[in-house]
Amino acid sequence: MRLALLLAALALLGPFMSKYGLKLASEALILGLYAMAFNLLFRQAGLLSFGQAAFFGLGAYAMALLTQKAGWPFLATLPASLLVSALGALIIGFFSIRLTRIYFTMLTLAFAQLLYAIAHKWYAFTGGDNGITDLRPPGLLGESLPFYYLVLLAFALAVIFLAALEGSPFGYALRALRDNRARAEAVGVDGFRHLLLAFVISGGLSGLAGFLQGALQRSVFPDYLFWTRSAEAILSTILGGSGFFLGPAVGASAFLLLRVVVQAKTEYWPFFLGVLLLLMVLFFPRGLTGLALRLIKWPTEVRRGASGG
Amino acid sequence: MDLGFYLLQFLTGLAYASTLFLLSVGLSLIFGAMGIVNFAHGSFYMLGAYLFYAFTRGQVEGFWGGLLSVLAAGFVIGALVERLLIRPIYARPEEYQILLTYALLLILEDAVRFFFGAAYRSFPMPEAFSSPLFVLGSPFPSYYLFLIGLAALFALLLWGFLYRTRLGVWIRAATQDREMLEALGVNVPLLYTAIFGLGIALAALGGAALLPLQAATPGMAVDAVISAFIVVVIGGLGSVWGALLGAGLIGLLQAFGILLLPEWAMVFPFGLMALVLLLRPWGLLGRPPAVRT
Amino acid sequence: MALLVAENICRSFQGFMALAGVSLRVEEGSFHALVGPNGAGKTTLFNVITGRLAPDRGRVFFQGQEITGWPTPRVARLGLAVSFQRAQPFVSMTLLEAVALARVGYQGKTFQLFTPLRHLAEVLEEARWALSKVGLDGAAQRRVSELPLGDLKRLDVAMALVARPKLLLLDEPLAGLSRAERRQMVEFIRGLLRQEGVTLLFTEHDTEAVLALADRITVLHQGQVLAEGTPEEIRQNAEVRKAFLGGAA
Repeated sequence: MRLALLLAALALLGPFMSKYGLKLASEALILGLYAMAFNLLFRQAGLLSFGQAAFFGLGAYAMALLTQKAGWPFLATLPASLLVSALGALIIGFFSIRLTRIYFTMLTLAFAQLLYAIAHKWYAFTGGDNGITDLRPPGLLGESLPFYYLVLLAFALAVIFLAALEGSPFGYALRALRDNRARAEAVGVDGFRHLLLAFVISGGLSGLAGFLQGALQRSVFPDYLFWTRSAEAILSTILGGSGFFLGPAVGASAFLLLRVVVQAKTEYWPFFLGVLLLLMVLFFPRGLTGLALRLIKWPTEVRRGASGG
Repeated sequence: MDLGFYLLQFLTGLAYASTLFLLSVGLSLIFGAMGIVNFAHGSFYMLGAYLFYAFTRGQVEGFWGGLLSVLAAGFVIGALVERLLIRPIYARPEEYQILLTYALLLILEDAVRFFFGAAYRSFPMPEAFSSPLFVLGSPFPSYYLFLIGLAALFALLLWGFLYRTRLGVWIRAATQDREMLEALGVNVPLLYTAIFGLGIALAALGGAALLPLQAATPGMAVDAVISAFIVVVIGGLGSVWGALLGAGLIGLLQAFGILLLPEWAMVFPFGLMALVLLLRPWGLLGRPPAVRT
Repeated sequence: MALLVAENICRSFQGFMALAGVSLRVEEGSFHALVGPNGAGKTTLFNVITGRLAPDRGRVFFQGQEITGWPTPRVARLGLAVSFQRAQPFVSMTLLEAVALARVGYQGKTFQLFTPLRHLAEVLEEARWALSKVGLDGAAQRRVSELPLGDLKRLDVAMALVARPKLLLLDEPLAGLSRAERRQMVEFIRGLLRQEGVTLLFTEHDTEAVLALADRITVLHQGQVLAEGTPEEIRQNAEVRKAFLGGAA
């Protein structure tokens, strides 16, 4: 499968990359994972979530608080991160999924900002604006290359899981709900429960991304929960093309590259992001992947046209 | 605590509710008539505050003129945004409409930062409102009364407009049955432009009116749009009266919530929203969906 | 044995009384028609039975079990399948996938996350069976989005059939079909459903079809039952004639 080849290639490239390259690659994979979690909801379930940062942040804070305040070993906090973010998704999803999709989007934004405000205010617990710093994964994982492999492993497992989900009865049920909710319910598919499970899965995977990001950055701040963090997942997905399975991952890489370039020149990165999103929505709804596919097909179409095809 | 204190809190809550109403009613109208959820709505609220500051250059003499200018500017800006950015994507799935307004949110946030800097922008209290009123023996900022009056005025104007003028009837019809409007020969695209402009104008006015009390910052846009969402979720999306009721409830909840648990007062609106979602998900004055989905 | 019993169903919408005390008994193995002019309450009654709407008053029983107010998915999993008036299919899927998904849905097995749908042999078999019964097995691999309207209707029926339902509800099965297609559909219904022993409750405007298919007819008018009986009884019923001056009767 092409996916396996891609993952193998990424694995083999590891030892040849510089420390900075490894850091960037790790961040790209983490963002890619985060964006794919978002796209599970957006593409499969037809749900647009503006609050994925809530789970990203929950995963990060769970890791940070448990390692720093409770002295847990780093890897042991992974299941806790997953659990906390999934639980957060369960609670937020319970309220947000109840009605039409428009309410859902609004509420995800609102709840995520609420979590941000709480993290910001609760100085005693979260350290407020100062965040939680000095988080260094112990031993081998504190080094760039092994950590990169950890990230790659997590990404690979998540992607394989999502691929399996897509072809499973659950994946079909989600798409059926998206295509026509009433018809899906009439064939026995309980809309609320399926969407909630999808939301929880997405939340858990976002939490995994947050866990990894916190370890990569060696610190966790309230801005992990800020709405612009949710925008990163959305933008990566739209940039790469939400209609393609790996589109969000492609978009994430492009997004990071863009950010590195733009932030070197100006501090108005959100403005640039907004304009980019605007252009994508207006002119390139199929994203970079769609654009690339169109360009690849173009010569054959031209040839066919020229021969009177 | 004496009655005067509680009355003061009550009026404070109403004052807060007044700006919330001006902010939220546009969001509700725009959604009700056009089906668009404007994530940039809070950004226009913020823009209103900044424009007010810019038009008056922070000079108190420009107060009344400034408010009027912001109202007009808001309408024009709203109309332009609708015409240039939103109209092209009506045919697209609603997710893309939402993403577009989200992009606007990002753009406006930084745009304001670029033109005005990240520092707080404030406005001095006009002479007319600088001395407090005495209500049952307690001093009460008279500007609060102005805000309440402003909201009441616009609620009344809106009522008159929506129920007594032909344009208003069309707008209300648009919230019920868009296709019929077209069949009747109404220029629906122009109507939409007008509705959007109206909604933005009110939000901008709300932001401007708040400036003497609270400084403007670039970050206020997201908090504002979330507050507006909470108000319309509680009141019912598409219902102008719902916006009034929702704003009133949140305003009072905040005013009295701060007395009980000042640290966690920000959570109360969410709590109320969650309650409404559990018991009456389409909002207190909203219309329940015809068929259970 | 009465497979479906609706007792005194009342339902209003913002003051408008759509159903004002409607009762209905559908006997097992029968073909029961629900007729009446537009706005008589037929679709509302269907929606109450299938769980899309909760009645203000009244109760619904399926196989002796009360299902009043049950949500649609739960009702569906009991063996009560519906095909809609306006077929609204799953455009992202192929025909086979859509019917297969329906099968898994009726079985209540849609929470499987790891087994690919295409590996579920029994499900695929049943899906192919249902498609062949409606004559669409040749198009099994085609995308739903490519189907013409008439075929969409048949696909919708296949999605209901694959449940091997005890009770099938068809809302205007002949709507939008040409004359020839109508005759086909009537034959199909008569032939197939008798063969499979499916009980049928359907709404229809086409008088000819109703009289040809139905064992029993319930006539609704302005939210109330005007008459109920065999086709012969209904045809001769003076009240029905009066209400439908040259219409259905």
